[in-house]
Amino acid sequence: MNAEALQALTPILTLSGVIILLMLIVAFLRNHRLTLGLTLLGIAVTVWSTLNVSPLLETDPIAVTGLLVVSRESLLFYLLFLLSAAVVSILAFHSFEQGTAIQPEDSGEKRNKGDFHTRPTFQEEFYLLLLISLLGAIVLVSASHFATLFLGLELMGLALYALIAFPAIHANRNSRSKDQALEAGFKYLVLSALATAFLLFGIALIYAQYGQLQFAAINAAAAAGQGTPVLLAIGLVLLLIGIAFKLSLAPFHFWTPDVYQGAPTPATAYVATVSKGAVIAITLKLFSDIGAFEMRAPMQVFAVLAVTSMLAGNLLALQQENIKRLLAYSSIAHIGYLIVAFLVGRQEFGREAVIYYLVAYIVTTLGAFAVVSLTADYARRANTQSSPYRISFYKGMFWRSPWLATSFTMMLLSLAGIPLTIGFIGKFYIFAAGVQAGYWALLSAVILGSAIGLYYYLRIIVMMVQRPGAVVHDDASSGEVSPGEVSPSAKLTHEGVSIAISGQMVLAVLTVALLAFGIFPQILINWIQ
Amino acid sequence: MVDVVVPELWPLIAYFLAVLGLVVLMLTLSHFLGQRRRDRATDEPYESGIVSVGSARLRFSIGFYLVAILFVIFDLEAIYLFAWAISFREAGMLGFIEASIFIGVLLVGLIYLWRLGALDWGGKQKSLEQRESVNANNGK
Repeated sequence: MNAEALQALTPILTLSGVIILLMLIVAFLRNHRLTLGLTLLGIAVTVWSTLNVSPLLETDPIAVTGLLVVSRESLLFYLLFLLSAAVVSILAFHSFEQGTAIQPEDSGEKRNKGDFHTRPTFQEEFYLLLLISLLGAIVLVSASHFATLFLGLELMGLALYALIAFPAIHANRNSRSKDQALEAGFKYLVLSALATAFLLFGIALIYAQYGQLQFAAINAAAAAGQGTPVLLAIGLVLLLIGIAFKLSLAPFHFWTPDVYQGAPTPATAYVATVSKGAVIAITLKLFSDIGAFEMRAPMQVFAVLAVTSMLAGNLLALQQENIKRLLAYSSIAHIGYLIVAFLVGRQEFGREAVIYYLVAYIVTTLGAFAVVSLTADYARRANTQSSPYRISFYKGMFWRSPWLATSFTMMLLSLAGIPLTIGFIGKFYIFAAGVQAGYWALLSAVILGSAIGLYYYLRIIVMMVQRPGAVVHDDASSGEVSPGEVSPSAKLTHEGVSIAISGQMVLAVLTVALLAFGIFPQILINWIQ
Repeated sequence: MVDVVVPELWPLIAYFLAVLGLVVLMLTLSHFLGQRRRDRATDEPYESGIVSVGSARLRFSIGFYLVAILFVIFDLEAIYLFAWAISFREAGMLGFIEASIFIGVLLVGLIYLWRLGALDWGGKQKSLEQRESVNANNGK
């Protein structure tokens, strides 16, 4: 390993160092605010070191010991994930301060002050686990060897199990949050293990053929005519099943709504963005390195998964009353759209489309979950009766807190793919890529999915615009507000949703990014190119 | 390539089928030929031995689990160090630095566990402390 390779590795090394340091500090000095500060500082230092590496890579990617390859593309993903993790940690801070991270569901339950003194909440560990998972994601996107791919994936996953099941440490034995979190964590753990088994079997089949684990070496061996292409295709399809689980593509999506609902909202945001983004990034890299885009079987499997995800995700989202479940199904559909561009990944344009859509998806999803999380924090502080995760909670929000509602509207419009937002450009990219390759059946599924999607995104927006207290003929709010009677949420109708300044800043940054890249997509396209 | 693989595999397949056939044969033969009887002791764990006492579902202290998991974690460390020890001279200074980093990380993990109270047998006995404080309050 020469000095250049070592320097290319600095972001990973920095992040590892930050984790070790934070672990030592947490061991001796438990302070929530300090931990958040150190986490953000560590992320900032890692971002700085990532930016320092980028001039090195003007010409070629740097291979580090045959296990990792650092390229400009992977640096882009580093930055994306680091910034997402920063947003998640800020959300987590507010969530812990209000107790929603420990008890997402038990809104009626009074918080017992004594609980917090006798029972440790281990909130500092949330940031530690977040950073470890982030390290896994960063190792994953720069993998060029099946060993690092597996290592990165597992590092990311193992920390995630604990993040998802975080409310399970809550003291109250009969708490609904605790049950849901345990269920979510356990479901993710068991199904993840199953997916890993498929993945490993696929890797083993490929290894049995070529005796190589490095992507480039496998491609070279396959080109030289060694081994049977059939077994390589079977191996790749098995690998794909493991990947499809992580991406929650349609027949492998059953865990998604439960996990999204049971996990604390910041952890949900992390699962939806960084964990999925990293898997997509490495799949793109793996497929282009190994030459899988030329093979029919894996591509056909992917196409089928894309269509089923688009349709199943959008159709199931129609019936959801819980905003987290709705976003879960919507994320299934979005990954489906993304796969359409992925199928064209052999061409430079297809790669661009995948990366652009991924950035759009991450920014938008993060924003949507930020709104959900901050609103839930507010609801906990205001001690409202109705659950803040129900869609009906957002009724009339436009009149109570216009800024929050505006930014949520932007996020939803971007998810629906309405012009002037980043989501529109992303979807436009996917269309262009699909048209270029002539995938008409897939494109019609995209159109159908988007049309269905528009309905449930606009439904939330309409609900936010409705005058508070108005009688609505919607089953979601029936029985909750009736004329002449003081509704349980009457207290809410006159108060604005107030959120902390750092939360507002996060929302503002995400909304601005969403609009800026939507109106001037060229900035982001230049970065990707 | 498929044609080359299959002739190599067929003895294995034949062997597998033979094993399967033998097992099926033995089970069916004993099913039809064997005698059946139900006595008082038929369903007991040791049909012709000592009568068992109590339930097998014992409650173990969670401390045992903790010790076991700590053993596994720090035992795995030794596996990596054995591999390094064999190639100690070949790995040279770089290998030494890398192994030191590895041990250092584990040391930090150990410190963290110690501070967390994972090394205290049975945890920090929070429940006892609580009970004592409640008793003290009642006494006042």
